[in-house]
Amino acid sequence: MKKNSKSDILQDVLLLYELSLSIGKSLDFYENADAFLRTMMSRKNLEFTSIWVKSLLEDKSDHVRFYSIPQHRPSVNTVRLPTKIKQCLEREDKHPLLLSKDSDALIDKNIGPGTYAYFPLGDFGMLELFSQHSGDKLSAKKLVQLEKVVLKFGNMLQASLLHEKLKKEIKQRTEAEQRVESIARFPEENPSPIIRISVDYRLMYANRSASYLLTVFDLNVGHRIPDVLLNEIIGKSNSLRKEFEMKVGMRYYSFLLVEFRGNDYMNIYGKEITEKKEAEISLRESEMKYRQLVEAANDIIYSIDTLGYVTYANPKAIQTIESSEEAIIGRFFGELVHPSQREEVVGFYYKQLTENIESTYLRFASITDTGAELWLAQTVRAIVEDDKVTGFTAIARDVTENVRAEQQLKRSEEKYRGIIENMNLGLLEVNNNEIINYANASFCKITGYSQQELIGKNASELLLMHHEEKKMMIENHKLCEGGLSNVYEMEIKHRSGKNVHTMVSGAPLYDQHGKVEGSVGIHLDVTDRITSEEALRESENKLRAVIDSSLDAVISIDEIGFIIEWNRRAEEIFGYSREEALGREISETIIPHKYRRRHNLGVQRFLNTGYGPVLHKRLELEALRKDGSSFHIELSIAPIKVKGHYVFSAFVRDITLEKMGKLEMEKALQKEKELNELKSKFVSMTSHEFRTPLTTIQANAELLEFRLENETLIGKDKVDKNLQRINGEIMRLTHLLNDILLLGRVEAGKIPFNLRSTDAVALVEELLSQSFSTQKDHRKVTLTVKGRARELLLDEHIFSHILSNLITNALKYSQDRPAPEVKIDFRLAEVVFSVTDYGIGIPEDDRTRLFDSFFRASNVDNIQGTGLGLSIVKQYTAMHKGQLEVTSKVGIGSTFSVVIPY
Amino acid sequence: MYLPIATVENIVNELQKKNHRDTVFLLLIAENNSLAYSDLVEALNECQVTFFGAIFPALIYGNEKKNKGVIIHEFPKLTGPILIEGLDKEEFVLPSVQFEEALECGAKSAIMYIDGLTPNITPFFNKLYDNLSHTLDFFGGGAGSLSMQQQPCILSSRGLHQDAAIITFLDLDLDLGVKHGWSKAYGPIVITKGENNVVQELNWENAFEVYQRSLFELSGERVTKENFFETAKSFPFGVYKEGCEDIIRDPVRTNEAGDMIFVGAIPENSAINIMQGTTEELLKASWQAVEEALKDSRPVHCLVTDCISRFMYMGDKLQKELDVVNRMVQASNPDCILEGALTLGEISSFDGKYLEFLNKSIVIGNFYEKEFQK
Repeated sequence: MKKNSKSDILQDVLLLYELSLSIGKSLDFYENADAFLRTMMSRKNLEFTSIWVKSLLEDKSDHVRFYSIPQHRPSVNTVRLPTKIKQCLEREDKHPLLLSKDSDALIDKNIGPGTYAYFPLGDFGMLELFSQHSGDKLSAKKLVQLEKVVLKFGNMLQASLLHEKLKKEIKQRTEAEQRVESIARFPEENPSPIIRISVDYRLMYANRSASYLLTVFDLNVGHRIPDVLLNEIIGKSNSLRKEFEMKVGMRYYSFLLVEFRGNDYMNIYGKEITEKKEAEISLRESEMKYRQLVEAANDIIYSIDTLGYVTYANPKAIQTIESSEEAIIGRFFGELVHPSQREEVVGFYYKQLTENIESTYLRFASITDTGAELWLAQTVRAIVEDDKVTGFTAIARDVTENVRAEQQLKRSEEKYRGIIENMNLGLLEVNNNEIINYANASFCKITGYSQQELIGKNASELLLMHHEEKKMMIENHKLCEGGLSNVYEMEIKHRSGKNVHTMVSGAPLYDQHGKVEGSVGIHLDVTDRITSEEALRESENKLRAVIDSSLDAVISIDEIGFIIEWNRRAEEIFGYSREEALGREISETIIPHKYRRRHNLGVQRFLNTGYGPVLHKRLELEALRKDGSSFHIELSIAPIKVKGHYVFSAFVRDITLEKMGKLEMEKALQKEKELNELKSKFVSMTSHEFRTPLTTIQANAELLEFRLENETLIGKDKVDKNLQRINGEIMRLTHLLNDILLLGRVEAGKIPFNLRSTDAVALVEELLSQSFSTQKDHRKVTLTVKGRARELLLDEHIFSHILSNLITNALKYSQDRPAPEVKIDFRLAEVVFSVTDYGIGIPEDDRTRLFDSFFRASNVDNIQGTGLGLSIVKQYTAMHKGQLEVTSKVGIGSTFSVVIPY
Repeated sequence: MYLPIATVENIVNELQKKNHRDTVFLLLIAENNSLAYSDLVEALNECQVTFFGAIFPALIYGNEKKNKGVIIHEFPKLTGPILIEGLDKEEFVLPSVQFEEALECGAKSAIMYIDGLTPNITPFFNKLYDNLSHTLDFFGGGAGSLSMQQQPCILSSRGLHQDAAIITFLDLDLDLGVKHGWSKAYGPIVITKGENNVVQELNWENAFEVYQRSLFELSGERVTKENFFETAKSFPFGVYKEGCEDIIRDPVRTNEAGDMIFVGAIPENSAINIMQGTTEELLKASWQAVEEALKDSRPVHCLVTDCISRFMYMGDKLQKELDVVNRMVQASNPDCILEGALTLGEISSFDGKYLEFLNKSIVIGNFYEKEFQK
């Protein structure tokens, strides 16, 4: 058994001291429990503590106070006394109980295995301690030590409970006293006036709120109440409760008189209702004002009930209808509507009633009692009371003059519209002998002749040049003679000799007896349209020539998917002739079966939504030849909208040969990638496996070195030297492995690379200050900046590695020489970071292989290095799209420059 | 990821590049910078980035101590960070509903940074432990300035806060390693009068006088009010904790009355020892801490909080501590970079133990998904 040291005993004593002093700092039950349990938890490093205490306050005897740290969920203060705890409390033996199995715990709290200790708190409670780890903390011996402190804690809890009980009783008594006092003070503090009068109507008592009444009535205790109040009281029924309202001074009151039969007094409870009364008066006044406004209104205002009978009409309404109030009230409103519109208007308002339309507007003709016609514009609003339509209010205005003006305007418009609309059309009248009777200005403009030059001339002779036109003219004339109209296009001769294309609408011309006396032709100049059609035809021919000579197959389909264009190259690639292809469905012709559904859906989606993700893109697909063989094509599709419909044109190229070449290349690349990955995986795995034991060796070597630092040993110098050698070799090996791992990750593209705008000067300054400010040989690396500094796109972490490596090399290969220098030169198109040392330099023959993995210059002698650093720097520089350059002279020094373009 | 130059633009650009919809970003910021925090918060909110962070005397990235810049670490988002303010008042309120929600979402661990100089850290931790920490593990530290002057240092989407803590729950398992390496050298001494982080009397005498006398007896060194911090950093207090390392309390200054002021509370009536350490024991402790944190799982998100006063005691030897820790992490997973900060107090709830605010300790937090369990 472990023997306790003097120090341990002292520590135990001090813990008991601290625990005992943590008790009784407060009289509050929970504060007491909290302070003790927390000290126990913290000092003894326990996982759970709790107490169960029978309360003096709880009504139910089988309930106990429960308090735990940490708080047990749900957080409750009172719980039913657990049977096991009850049995434990009732046992004779009052010593602590120690349980080591989770299943033995008196309460299952699901806090895992450990040691439980239970201390009785007198005969009214229990303290529980729990430690996850069995051992000394809750040993039997420790429990014995704690017994007295726990006893004191129990006593203190009991005192707290007594204190609580006392406090509760005092509080209850104080509250009862306050209630009694409050009841006694009730009438006096009531915000409404209360007065008490005797059976002979003298004032016995009035509360504070009744002071206004007493002032107005000039009333004091013992005085008889004024007649005005007396009349109200006596004038009421014999009921024990009488209510009345009256104005007292400037205020209105509602009074409730309550007689107390068998007593010698009655109470009058008043309630001030000034605000309510004033609101009522204000409403009445407002109604009056409204009525006056309606009466004086310049608009017709009237009301009808739901059956359509007039219930009210203002003077303006009576005046407009030229009627009297007696004659108009009680009349059906439809009688006021002009008979021609009566049915329509009545129907309109019937609809408003049946469909619960709140408000309508209508313009209709009305008729006055004297028979005059007038037009009304009327707004009708439903009158709703208690969610029910009880009638309608109409506000109307006489708009007769407006309507008449509108009608006049409409007639004028119709008259002139025809003239205006035909102003740009040429009009030619000829008689049955084709002699021109009339030509309007537009016709003169179309033909270039004046009216004088035209009238009296034979139209065919003057204006037609081809036989076909003359024939057409004769046929049209015949149609006109038969009373028929015709529309046709024809070419007529301009005065200048050029041709003018016109569209002619010919119609017969009748005399006053209805006999055809000639014809009239309305001419529209369509020369421009005809010319553009011809130009378009020419352009189409040219385009066709281009399409036919195209190296790509050009195929067009319509919205349904039928082929409408198929050039010569398409014939060669797919094997279908133009004649065979045109009119076939594209999906049945060149699209492999597995893609047909997707093609049709894509076309349909584009037509429905305008969304076509594959349009205007270069796509590589499979296609079918006429012989059923499939091959690879590259195509791009463009939708073209023609007259509201889409045409899809595709340019197709046979890429069978290119595809085969590409596949071969991909296979070769994949093989190379797999080989590279295998190599990287092998290197990474090997390095990683080396590094773990190396770390353990190094950590132990360092610990050995720390331990020996203050020891005096014979031959310690040699041991130190051996340790230094071990550490040195470990470091070298660790660097080598780190570099190999890093290089592997760089080559595998696994290095995260995040370019962002960086203050390059600040970055280099930070690097020099953080990593190179304290050199063992006290050399200080200097920084020079040339040009106008600007921010650069750099990955700070990777770029810091580049410079850090170059500066470390510069220091390493220039020992006992002047300190290296760093220079940043901001040039026009690039920035150059150079690191110059005055060291051993690099032989010319070595420079070409300087950036190869594991290569080291021939003159490095014993200077340690892995031969990987510059290789990594080279790759890191390339990631920045930069160049790594070196200039060097053996024995003089080297300059490494990293050139980064902006 | 470490950004040497901390500007609003740099940080925002960096975060925007990432998948910020499913990510919560931790920003550890070195106090030596000229960041416009309100602009930063506004810009990050505009980009709808979920983030939390704090300001520290210095940062740790790999095996390097960084006095400038910012470390950005991405965690898979479970719920948003929860800010608790008003820790200078005794009646601060814990957002229990948000805690419940986080637990319901499957929170397995939490990162917490707290204003290291706020007065009610112990009551806050008590409440937090009662509510949460016995159900999941906490990792974190105290934020603030090396000057020991209290100032806003907790970063949330609502701005920069003083007397506050920020907690982010994660659906990641957490293995912790926590050690300090200090040993009992003198004591025990009883704190007979004190409140919170101020000790007035030791063994019923003036605290500073007892400390001064004890140190002279122990090491021959004469501590004065002028050289207090310089001397006391090598002789902190250890509060007894049965069965494990004592909790270290760091004396930072004394006042005219001879009271001693600490980072973190020391309960009245508790027994303390004056502690001493050697660099090798401290280094050994950090080695043990990292070994403990990595023994059952490969690190994926490996964070560290290392006490600033531990660094001040170790001086240049801190580099060795960082070398050791970083090397162990890299040996376990070459893709994982150690990230963290030098803090004003450390937070670790390990194995469901009572949540304590630590001083002069190193805490390694290894957050991982189940698949990385060894």
